[in-house]
Amino acid sequence: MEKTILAFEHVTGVRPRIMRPVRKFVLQDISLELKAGYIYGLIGENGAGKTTLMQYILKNNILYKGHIYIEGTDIRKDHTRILGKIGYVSEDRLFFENCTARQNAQILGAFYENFREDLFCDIMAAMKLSTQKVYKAMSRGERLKFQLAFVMAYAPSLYLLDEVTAGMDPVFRMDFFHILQQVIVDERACVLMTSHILTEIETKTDYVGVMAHGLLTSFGESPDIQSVLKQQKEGIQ
Amino acid sequence: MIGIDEKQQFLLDQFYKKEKLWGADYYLSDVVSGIILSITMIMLIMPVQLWEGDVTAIGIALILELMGMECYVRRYLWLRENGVNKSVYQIVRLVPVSRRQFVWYILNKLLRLCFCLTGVSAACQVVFALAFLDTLSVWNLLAPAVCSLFLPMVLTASTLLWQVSSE
Repeated sequence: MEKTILAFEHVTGVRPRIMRPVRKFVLQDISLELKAGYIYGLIGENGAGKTTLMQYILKNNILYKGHIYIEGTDIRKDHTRILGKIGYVSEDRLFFENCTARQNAQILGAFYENFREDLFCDIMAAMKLSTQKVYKAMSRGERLKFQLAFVMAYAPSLYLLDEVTAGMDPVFRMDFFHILQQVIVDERACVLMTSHILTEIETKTDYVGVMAHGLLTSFGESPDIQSVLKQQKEGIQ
Repeated sequence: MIGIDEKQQFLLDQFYKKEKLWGADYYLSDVVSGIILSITMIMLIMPVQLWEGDVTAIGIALILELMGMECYVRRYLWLRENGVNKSVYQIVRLVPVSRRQFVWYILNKLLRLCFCLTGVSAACQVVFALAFLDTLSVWNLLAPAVCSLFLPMVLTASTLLWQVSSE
């Protein structure tokens, strides 16, 4: 039986009364289920709610109705432990700029129970990236590779990849998806990634969700996505 | 009451022990806070009766005390990289450490220093007041408590809560 890694049950954001004029955007009645062994894609226009959906999982100060479960545990009940099961890769994630990749991994990896430094070094070597390179000297692609190696070294069950392939060269993109396939091959983890590149989502992911204005308008197998988007566009027109 | 998670406190302790690696201002903040707090202590161990209600002297002592505490606590709160100030919490917010434990760790560090400075200055105030002035006032205890304990704790707690809630 396939293991459910992430489940959203009617998640609707709640706007605190005092924040209402400032923070207008919230998720609306999101329900979805992600199983181990698959790559899931999320697409939508800018401001559709893709990154916000990830923030609902990562932050524990966002108010919402409904439930978010990771491996059957409500994330509000034990958010700290849950963070150890999530591998978040994003350009916005901060690391120590003046430290090397290895130093960053040592400093922050210590917080994770399963973190293995030897595995981190192996993955970095496989990616042809030096562990002695200072973070601020890394290119965008190298930073994302480093982040991926870092999160893989503690073997999370949920990988959240926020716009990681945007602006990547084709060689890196191929390498990247090859690594993702390795991540899910033993069916212990699943990947949720957001992207603006439709063809990439269509060909490299197993299931795709389409988001618009905080709503998950459709969720299904990747090959159907073109028709779904077409219908959605016609509906809007 | 805050439930203290010993394991997370230990992890944060290890994290800040590596500060020499990631905090460029580590030694500077140590030295500067040490100098400022030493000057303040010299002022605060003098019995308040000697100040004779001199608001300027009290104000200077208070400002210096807050500056010294700010320098001391800065290493736990802020990180300066390539000319940009970042909150340390921004870096650790995605690792498995709770906000509550992070806040408690820093407040606990500051509380120890504050208690120590308050204890020394209050004791000196009382001893000097009795020995040299043959008098004792409640302000001999209150002045060190307000300057070295209450105000630094309130200010740091506010900064911390603002940091962790605005993420």
